[in-house]
Amino acid sequence: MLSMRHLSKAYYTDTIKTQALQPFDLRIEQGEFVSVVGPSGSGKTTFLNITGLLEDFCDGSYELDGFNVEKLSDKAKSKLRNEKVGFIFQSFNLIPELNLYDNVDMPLRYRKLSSKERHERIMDALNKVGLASRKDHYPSQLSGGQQQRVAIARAIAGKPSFLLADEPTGNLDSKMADSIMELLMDINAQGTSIVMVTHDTQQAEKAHRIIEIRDGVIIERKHCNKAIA
Amino acid sequence: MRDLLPILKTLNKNKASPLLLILQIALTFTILVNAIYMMILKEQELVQPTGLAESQLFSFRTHFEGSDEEKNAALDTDLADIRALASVESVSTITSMPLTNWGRSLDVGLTPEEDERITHAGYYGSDDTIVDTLGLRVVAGRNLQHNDVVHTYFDGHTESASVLVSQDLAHKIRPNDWRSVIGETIYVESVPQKVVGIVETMKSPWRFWYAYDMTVISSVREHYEESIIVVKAKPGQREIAMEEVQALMLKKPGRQLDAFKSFEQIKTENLQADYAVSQTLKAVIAALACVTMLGIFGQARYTVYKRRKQIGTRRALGATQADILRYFMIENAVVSLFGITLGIVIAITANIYLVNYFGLTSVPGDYLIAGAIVMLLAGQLAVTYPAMIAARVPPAIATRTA
Repeated sequence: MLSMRHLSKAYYTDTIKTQALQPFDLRIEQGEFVSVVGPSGSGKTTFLNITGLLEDFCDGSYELDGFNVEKLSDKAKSKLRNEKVGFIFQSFNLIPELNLYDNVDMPLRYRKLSSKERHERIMDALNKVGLASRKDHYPSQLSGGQQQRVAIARAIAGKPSFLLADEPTGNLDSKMADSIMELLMDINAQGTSIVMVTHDTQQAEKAHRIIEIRDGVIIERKHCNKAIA
Repeated sequence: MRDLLPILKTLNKNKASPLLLILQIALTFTILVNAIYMMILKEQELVQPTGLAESQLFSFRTHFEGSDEEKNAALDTDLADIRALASVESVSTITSMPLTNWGRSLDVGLTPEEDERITHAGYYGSDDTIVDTLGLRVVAGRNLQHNDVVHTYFDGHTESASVLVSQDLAHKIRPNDWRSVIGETIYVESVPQKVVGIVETMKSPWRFWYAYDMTVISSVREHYEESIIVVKAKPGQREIAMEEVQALMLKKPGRQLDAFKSFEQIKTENLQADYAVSQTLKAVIAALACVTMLGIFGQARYTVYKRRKQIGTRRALGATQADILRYFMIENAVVSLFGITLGIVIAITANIYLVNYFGLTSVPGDYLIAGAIVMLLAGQLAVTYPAMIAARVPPAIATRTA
């Protein structure tokens, strides 16, 4: 569960204050699939970064799975990110020098897991995205859609409560985008909450709920595509 | 060490720039270790003991006129006058002084045949007072005695007499039993000389000469037109003694003094060029170390800049600042270790060549180990700041850049 109250974000330069997000309240339940839409520069990525503890917020409070984020140190936030949040980036952000297996292993290495358990989780995640047989390949040997699948495997290998996806289909053609969306919906169906930032209204419609951001103002569009699993 | 395997895989996949750094570290290591070893050898040479009572000694040249007998008598008078000064402990005449680059080098053998020469040696002619004056130590046999002394005008080495030899020369003549040289007749420039004693250390006038440590001190005193007088002042009174001797000698009508110098002055002048070499080596070593550290720094800084997004991604996926710092430190340590290992191989190979072809001493293993540790620490020091910058890369970079 994710709960934000009166949360806001502003950026400051020497003389200018830019209000990136106006104060808002938001609650996302466990198992929900939420799409975040809005034009470029509206504050979507800022919202995603705050949600994923990549950026600090200015005012308000934020509770992630029972942890009050505001009081956490940088180290504790890293730990919380590692355990509770899985990230999927628009440009995949895989490490080109590492093969698929090692890429998926990367977040697991920051945990105290035995190598056997890590191996099981990596293979399980790669199986789920259908790339277990190519575990020794490098990202450059894969198509864009396959690379995004690897990124998804990396995100789910840590068994997070939330998946945060930043334009996960933005760099893919429609066929590949559909297959990635299907994969995300499968993952969501198994109980993982997903917050997905997207430009693509068609893909956004597949979520349980759509949040629209315009000029830093969060507008909830009550929309239920289907019941939460 | 959880980062070690991914680091090795990353380096293996992306070899070009780490290879250049490895090569730079290897070459720097080889050059540094050799240069430091050369510098230390040079420094050791500079502080090598001469066996003399250096802090009490000074010497000068003076000239005599008249017949043979008159010159000899004038020299005796000079020595007696100087000896009578309260600040003087002892005084002698000698044909040359160590480290002055001026003197005689003669063949030494156990037979008069020139082609059976054992070595060369520096030759000094003096009398029974010289051991005390120079502060030498007789380690076997006896000192020269008054009745050993032979007087001659010049070329004293053509006279047979009793001689002292340096321990190094005795060892060269009889490597297995250097003391047995006592009582032997040695041939110096084919002239028989009887060895009566061995002094612990006495050096030749030429420091770069192979026979620098090998000397003969003969009991033949010369009274040439120009003689060298060496004075041993009482402890702590050398400056007074130098003033008093100078004043005394200049009172004598028509007398000239030349090369009036304390032994330290002689030594400093002799070592000046080497001292400059040693200082230059130090500067080269420091500059080279700086260049390498800057190279590591620059490479690490560039890598951090190039990998900002990757660092952000790692941070987003759960790496703490300490994890990022450690990653870069370990990566540098791995590259440095490869470089050092290659450097050790090059250093050993180069050494084998230098030893075989140029007869140089090989760099001892201790230097390689110490060099490796220093190089590793220098690398870690150079990478610390870029690694700290890397650790401060915000995780939001992961979503902010294309």
